[in-house]
Amino acid sequence: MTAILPAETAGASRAPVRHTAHGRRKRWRYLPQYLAVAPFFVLFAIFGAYPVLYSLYLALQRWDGVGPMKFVGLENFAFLLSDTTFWDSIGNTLIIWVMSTVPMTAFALLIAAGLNSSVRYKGLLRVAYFLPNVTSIVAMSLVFGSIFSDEFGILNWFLGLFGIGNVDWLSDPWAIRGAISIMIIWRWTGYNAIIFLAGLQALPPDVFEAARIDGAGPVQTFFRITLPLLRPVLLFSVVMSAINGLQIFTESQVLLGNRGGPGGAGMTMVLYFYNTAFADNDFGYGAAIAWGIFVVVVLFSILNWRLVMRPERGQVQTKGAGR
Amino acid sequence: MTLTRRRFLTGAAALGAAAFGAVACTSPTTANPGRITLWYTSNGLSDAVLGEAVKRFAADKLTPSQVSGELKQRLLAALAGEAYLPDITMLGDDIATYFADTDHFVDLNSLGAGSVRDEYLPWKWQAGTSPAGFQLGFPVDVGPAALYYRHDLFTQAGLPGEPDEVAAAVSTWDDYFTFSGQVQKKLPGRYMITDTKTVFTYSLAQEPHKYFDRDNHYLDDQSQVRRAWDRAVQAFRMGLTAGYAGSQSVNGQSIDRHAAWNSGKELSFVNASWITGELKESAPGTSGKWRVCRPPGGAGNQGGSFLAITKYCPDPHAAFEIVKWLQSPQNQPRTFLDLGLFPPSPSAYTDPRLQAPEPFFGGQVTMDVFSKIAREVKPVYFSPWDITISDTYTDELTNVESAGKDPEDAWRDARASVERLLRRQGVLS
Amino acid sequence: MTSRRARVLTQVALTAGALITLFPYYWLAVMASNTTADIYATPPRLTFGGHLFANIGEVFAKIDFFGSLLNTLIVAVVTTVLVLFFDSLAAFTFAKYDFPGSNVLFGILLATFVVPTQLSAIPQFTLMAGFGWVGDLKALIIPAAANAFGIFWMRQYARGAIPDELLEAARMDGAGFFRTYLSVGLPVLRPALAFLGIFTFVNAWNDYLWPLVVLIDSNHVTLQVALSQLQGVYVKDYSVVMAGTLVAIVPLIIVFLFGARHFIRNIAAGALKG
Repeated sequence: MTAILPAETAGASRAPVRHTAHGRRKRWRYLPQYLAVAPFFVLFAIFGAYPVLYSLYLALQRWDGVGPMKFVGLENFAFLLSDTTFWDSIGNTLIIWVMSTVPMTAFALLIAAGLNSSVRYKGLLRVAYFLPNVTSIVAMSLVFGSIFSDEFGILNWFLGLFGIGNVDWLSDPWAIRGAISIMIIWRWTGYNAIIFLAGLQALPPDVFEAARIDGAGPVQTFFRITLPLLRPVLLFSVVMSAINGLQIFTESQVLLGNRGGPGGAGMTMVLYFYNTAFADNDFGYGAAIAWGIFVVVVLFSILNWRLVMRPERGQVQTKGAGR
Repeated sequence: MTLTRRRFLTGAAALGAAAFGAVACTSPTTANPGRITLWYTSNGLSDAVLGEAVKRFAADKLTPSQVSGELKQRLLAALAGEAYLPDITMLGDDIATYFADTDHFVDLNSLGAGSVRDEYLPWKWQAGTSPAGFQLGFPVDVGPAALYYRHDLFTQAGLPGEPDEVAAAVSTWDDYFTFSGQVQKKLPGRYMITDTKTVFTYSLAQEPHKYFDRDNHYLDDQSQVRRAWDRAVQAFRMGLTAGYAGSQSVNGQSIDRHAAWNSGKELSFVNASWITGELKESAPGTSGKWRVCRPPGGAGNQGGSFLAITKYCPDPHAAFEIVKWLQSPQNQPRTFLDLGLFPPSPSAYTDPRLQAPEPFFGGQVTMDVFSKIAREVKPVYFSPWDITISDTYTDELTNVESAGKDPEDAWRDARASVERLLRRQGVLS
Repeated sequence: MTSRRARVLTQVALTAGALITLFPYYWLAVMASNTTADIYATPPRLTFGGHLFANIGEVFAKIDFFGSLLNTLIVAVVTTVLVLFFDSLAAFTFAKYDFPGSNVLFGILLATFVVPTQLSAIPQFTLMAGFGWVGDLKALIIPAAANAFGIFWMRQYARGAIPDELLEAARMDGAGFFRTYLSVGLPVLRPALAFLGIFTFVNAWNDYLWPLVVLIDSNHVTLQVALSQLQGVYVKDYSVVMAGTLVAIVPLIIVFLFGARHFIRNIAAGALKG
């Protein structure tokens, strides 16, 4: 788990270079290190920071992208607070995140467990599961359109084979979120399965041996031993999916258009931003939405951090003690 | 590492330049200095006609540059940076977005556009004119709306099938709904109307006013909007709409609708002329079975684009000659045959090539129907906010149609969000 | 006996899952090999048609496929090489060296994760105009030449993977910082580089909106932008669009299959080592 948390327990492995020199000499001494990390900061200062400052400036303006800007102070932000579409978009984003992350994690675990057993064609299977993650979702938009189409879609045809009636994938609010979630699940399950698989392969075999001797069945072993041991990897995957999940945009847009489909059920935060700025030409308000998203992401990250961090510390210590 | 430091210095210098707004000095203001660059959307102009223009205007070094659907995004970025701008650019039916800030462009009147003005549909010409009289857009195409219907299925069911008969049976929206009810009784499980959205859109397209007057004053009396709304709701209540989903996706394509064309489930629909290409392309098996006729409610237009010349063009007169030639009544038929872009010049309608019987429409000369409608369209002002406002109303209609929302609640919500939007944009106080 | 049954069941379930995952690709190929009318037929045609090469031929006729493929390759390869170099160097430094301000700098780097970048197309265009890079592939490559995710992720890997003893030994041998990075850091980081490499390559390959805005010469674009030119305003020949999508995905799949073994083995490395 230290992968995503700069856990300072690892401090001992740091710094072969000690602070021995003084004053100016010391500064020069670290010049190679400063130069080594400089490219990112320089590039960010030019290509990242300027756009960020620009969007902050823009959030205080009213601007249609063509005419002159008009300074409106904090009006855009005041408006944002009372904008039900924005609040709904936060809700939609979180709902879709949960609807996609939970089944995705479950599927990925099953697939990883399966791949970790003695099956054939492992290499091919891994590639098959991973392929969606490297495919452009924009390119696949029409494919998914024809899969989810309400009356003539292949998915409904397929469900019909099992006697399941038509699902209005593109009209019913919950089905819409389901359809978006399915696209996300398609894209990310393989990725997470591979991560879990690596996690499984890294587990010490003697633990399982002990469990077997104690008479634990495979299901019991999975829930009592495998899952707890996999916890760090699971958390990594959840944190990564949260970062991606809050940015859900393309799936919604290609499937439903800029306005999130009927009832705005697929209107996510970033899609709302995109629609406001680039479809409605309301760049000032779009910038304010971008900063609204920023606040949500920060709050969510803090929450995430707290949930993940606290029990994790304990575990790192027990792990250390066990070694 | 020196590379990094050098890059840092150039970067810092450019950053400083950008901060002081001196950017335009360091880069050319047009995309290809010494050439006349024309930005157009894919299939927005005929490549054959453009190819000939390149040869014909070789001295001006015409450089057509095809941009996909997001031409506007690139144009806005270039306008903001005042760099790498096109000399000639295509603008969509949201041309009014640029009316408030025409100083990026050249007034076509100053280039002698007045002399060709009479060759074009007056309402289309006017749509390219700003409220201040600045001629920003030169007509590219228009979208007269007609009723498309399945002649074969109508006659099989013992219904009137010839265009004149159908037109007579559906002369008003009410007639259309009554007629549709009869048709659906005879042909159960099929639909006469795509969705509430099309009823609203095409009903409003027939009104002389939409949401704003030409001075960008919001028309508080939205009775024409309410009329279109009520019609849409009525069609839904009578069970006449199919309500195909997916028509709002990014590419605006509805798989369900295309499939319904193929299967004969969609018996008729009102749409602008540009749908013909899509219809032929996605349902070639129905060739010979369709006809078009005058739509219920009267003439209306939907869509259509313009060409504009930016003020950064060093030789606007040369650019105007190119525009004039590209969109001349002589070239419009070619563009129409190539891409289905409906000609904005009435004189093109009598071109023999456009008067040929069309096998896809069972030998009907659809130009006769469309040209009559095109001539009758009333001038209407399309404000910069029209697309968003229309979307807001049709979103709520979709809620009624697919989520069972109460129509009155939906109307109130739509109006409220339109007014909120306009207040935010400073249009309403 | 039961364990064998379980094995067969697992094999069947895994294969079924893989087939479901691969179905959209199959469907894409089906659409690309049929006519647009077949795509919309009811019931849908679920089998390959005979129009694949005709459709691909039309793609090649309409857009400069190989020119844009070359541009995409240049952007993806150069970006990947630069990212691998800059990110690994920075990651190695952050992981293994304490220098004044290193924690602060790393904190700033983490903070850039959540900074809103959605609006950057317009100011970035202004910047590129200032540099004179509009229309140039540099405009795609340079801003992407180093990224926070790669540095962060690789630093986590490097911390656990590079033993201090090796660094100490290199120092004893009189190796400077950069030499140490080359001889000790890079070899150990190789698995992580493979992952970051494919990740960067794929992202560069699939990037769409920014290339569309900044590459203003339509004869000099990347593959994704060229593909979007296949979609007309009113007329859309979907089987051709699908054929274009298919031929654009194929090179990526080849790259992926080529590097898959390396890649998949290392993808989880960052999550595990530390």
